[in-house]
Amino acid sequence: MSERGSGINKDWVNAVLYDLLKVVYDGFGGASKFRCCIVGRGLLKDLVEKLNLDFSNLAIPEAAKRVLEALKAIGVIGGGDVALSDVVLDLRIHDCVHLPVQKRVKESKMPSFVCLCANLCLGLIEERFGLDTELIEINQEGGTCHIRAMLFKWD
Amino acid sequence: MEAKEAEVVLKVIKERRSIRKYKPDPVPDELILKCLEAARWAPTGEDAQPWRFIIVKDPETRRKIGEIARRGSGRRFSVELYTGKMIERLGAHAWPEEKRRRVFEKLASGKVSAFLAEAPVNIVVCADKNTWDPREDCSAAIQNILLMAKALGLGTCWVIAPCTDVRDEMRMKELLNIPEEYKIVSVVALGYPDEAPRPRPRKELEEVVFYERFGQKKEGAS
Repeated sequence: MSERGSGINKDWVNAVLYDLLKVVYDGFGGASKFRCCIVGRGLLKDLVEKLNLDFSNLAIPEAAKRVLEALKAIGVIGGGDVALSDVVLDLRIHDCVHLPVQKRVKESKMPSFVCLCANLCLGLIEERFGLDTELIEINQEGGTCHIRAMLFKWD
Repeated sequence: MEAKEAEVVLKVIKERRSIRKYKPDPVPDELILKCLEAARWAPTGEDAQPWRFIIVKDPETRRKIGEIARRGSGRRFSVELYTGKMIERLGAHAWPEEKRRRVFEKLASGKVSAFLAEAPVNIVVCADKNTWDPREDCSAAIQNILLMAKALGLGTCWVIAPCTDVRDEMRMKELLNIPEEYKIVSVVALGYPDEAPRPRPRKELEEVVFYERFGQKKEGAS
């Protein structure tokens, strides 16, 4: 017998996620992205253990790419690309299970203020590279979310 | 209350400024407590009185708060500048190039919020999360602090920078040993002002007041 909830309906999950995002936005408005930037980050520790992820000797883009590969391995995304230009990190995430949420957000008047996959990448960068990060924007087009974030190293 | 007293209240409200430069002179405890006495008389939903106030004078703790605020503001303003939203928000298109560069540099560096370290007193306003209106209640209390401080000849600035971002709020909570069941609503800088900022422009009443329905102007008004 399968574990209860193991085949949980994605539409249900995404509908709940959208509603929760709306609650957050109604409460925090434009500051919502500052309140949601750590959502999902707890998964990173589990992923590292489960998939034996090793980030040693990796530069920032490669480390972020490894996180995306791990998310692909567990079926969250179809794939992802990472680029770093000066202090701007560029993530392109394809076929994410939460794509319907971003689509609904885009259709509504809410700005897109959280990407759980990007949160994991940025969390890793903060933790392993000692940098601060800040989400710039999330743009969803077709099956891809394009996320940009800024990286900071303070004096 | 007489009309004359109402005018005094309005005068205090209108003459309050956000002060970011303070004299190093210490603020007597009785004045700080007078401000907090005003705070605890703020309106509060369900009589919850969710506020707790941490008076921080220790220079090292203030330095750390200032640093958290600096980094938080620096991150946010850098992104705003990068996307061009800051220019739009400040209406900076028309500014002379030199002014724009100076203001933007200050914003992106986060120095705009780092002054908390230099204010002789930081009042950290915390709220019991297990109440219905913690942010609203505490915001009313903060406004009372600002107005009482003004009436006492003190300067204040309501600063959200060290706690807008959940990561910074976590740093602040660790620094000040704030229990999980409380959240930080804001920090109020307090001290004797060493600047006299001009009033910032306000939207006219006609622009912000509607009648009976959102967007509906008074009959006969253009």
